[in-house]
Amino acid sequence: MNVTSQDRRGGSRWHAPLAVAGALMLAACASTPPAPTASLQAAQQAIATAERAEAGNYAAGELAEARAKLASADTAVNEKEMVMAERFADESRANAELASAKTSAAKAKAVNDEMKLSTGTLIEEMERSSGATP
Amino acid sequence: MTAKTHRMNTNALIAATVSSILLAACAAAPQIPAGAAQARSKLTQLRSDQELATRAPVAIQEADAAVRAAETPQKDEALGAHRVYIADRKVDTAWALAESRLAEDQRAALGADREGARLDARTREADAAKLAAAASAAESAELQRQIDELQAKETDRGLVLTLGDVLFQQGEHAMARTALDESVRLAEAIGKPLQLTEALYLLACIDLHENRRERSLANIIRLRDVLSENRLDVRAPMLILATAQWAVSSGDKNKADAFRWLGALGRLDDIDSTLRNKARQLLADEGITAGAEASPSEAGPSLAQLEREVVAFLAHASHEKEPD
Repeated sequence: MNVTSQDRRGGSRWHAPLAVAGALMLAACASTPPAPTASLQAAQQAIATAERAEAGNYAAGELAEARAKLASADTAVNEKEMVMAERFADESRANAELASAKTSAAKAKAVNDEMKLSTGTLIEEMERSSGATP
Repeated sequence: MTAKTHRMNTNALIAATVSSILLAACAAAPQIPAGAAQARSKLTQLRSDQELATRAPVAIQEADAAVRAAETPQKDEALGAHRVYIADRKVDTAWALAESRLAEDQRAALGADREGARLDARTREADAAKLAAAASAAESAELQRQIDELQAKETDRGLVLTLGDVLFQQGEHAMARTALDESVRLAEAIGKPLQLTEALYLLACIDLHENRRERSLANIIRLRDVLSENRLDVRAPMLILATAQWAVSSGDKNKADAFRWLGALGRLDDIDSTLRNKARQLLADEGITAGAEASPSEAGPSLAQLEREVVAFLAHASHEKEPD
């Protein structure tokens, strides 16, 4: 009987710390993870870069998708869905970078096309002139 | 004893049930996300393209890492779809960057072609000019006098080339042209793009008056390049006018080219869009005679009106926003 009482007293010594630890663990699990600030900023930066490069004129679809994904990321943050928010932000950034790259390619091609056109016109004009004035 | 056995059997049953559930959960093997194979296929295609494969190594490496991540078997379907999405965009980005760099690398060759064509045009015209010059020694003396008159002078407003008085006098185009060539040389040598644009514009006009069409065109192209390189938007109307004059004298054949050129001027955007539109209208409505060529003087009042407006615009712009 005595042994049992001691056992009970000895066991009760651990009840309080265990309860505190358990409460802490529950609290840790229950708290909201932080917003993916770095990913959101990276996406915003990538969209701003694409806009400066005039992606709206050359890769409008990709730029629009980047903006839509960023809006979804913001919504997910408001709804405390941080994992989804980070994914949306990463997808937004990928779209914005694609828009910038497509814009760069389109501009480079346009310059080349114009150079070809002007050179072709010049050569054609010379040939015409040579034919007119032998 | 019987009760204890029963309890043990119950425990064993519960353990077996839990184990079965866990095994069943493990039995749903992770799958490679749908779409990963397509991303891999695109990346392989990019890497096998000899012109593109080496032109965006960093982007291709990033795309490869993204595709490998997408190919990882994944139980979480949403995560798998996300990785495929990223991989697809990364591959497309690498592709676009490689195409962009390919175009940039090709530009050097295109520039060499254009320089060759210009040189050819100038050589032809120079040969013709030499023949003409040899025909008249008296003209040479007068030419020298004109060159002396057009020498560049440094003033507090910068380099001033005295061009105006002799340019459009009847019969003196050849002299003015040679003097302008000298002005171009001087303006290039001491880096005066404003004066260079003026001289090129006037050369283009004079050459057009003398029906030296290819040389006029070469000067117009050069004028456009100088404007673009130096961001001299304020002088862009010169290019509009020169292009319009050239196109009007060309007949329908070059009308489409002239339209495209005027469209290309959109890059020098801050220029007066009204002038550009008027030039377009001029080409569309009046100066072009089907199948025939007209000299600028026959182009009618619209061209003259456009010319006056451009001159007025330039005069206004030179007061308002001309750089030093």
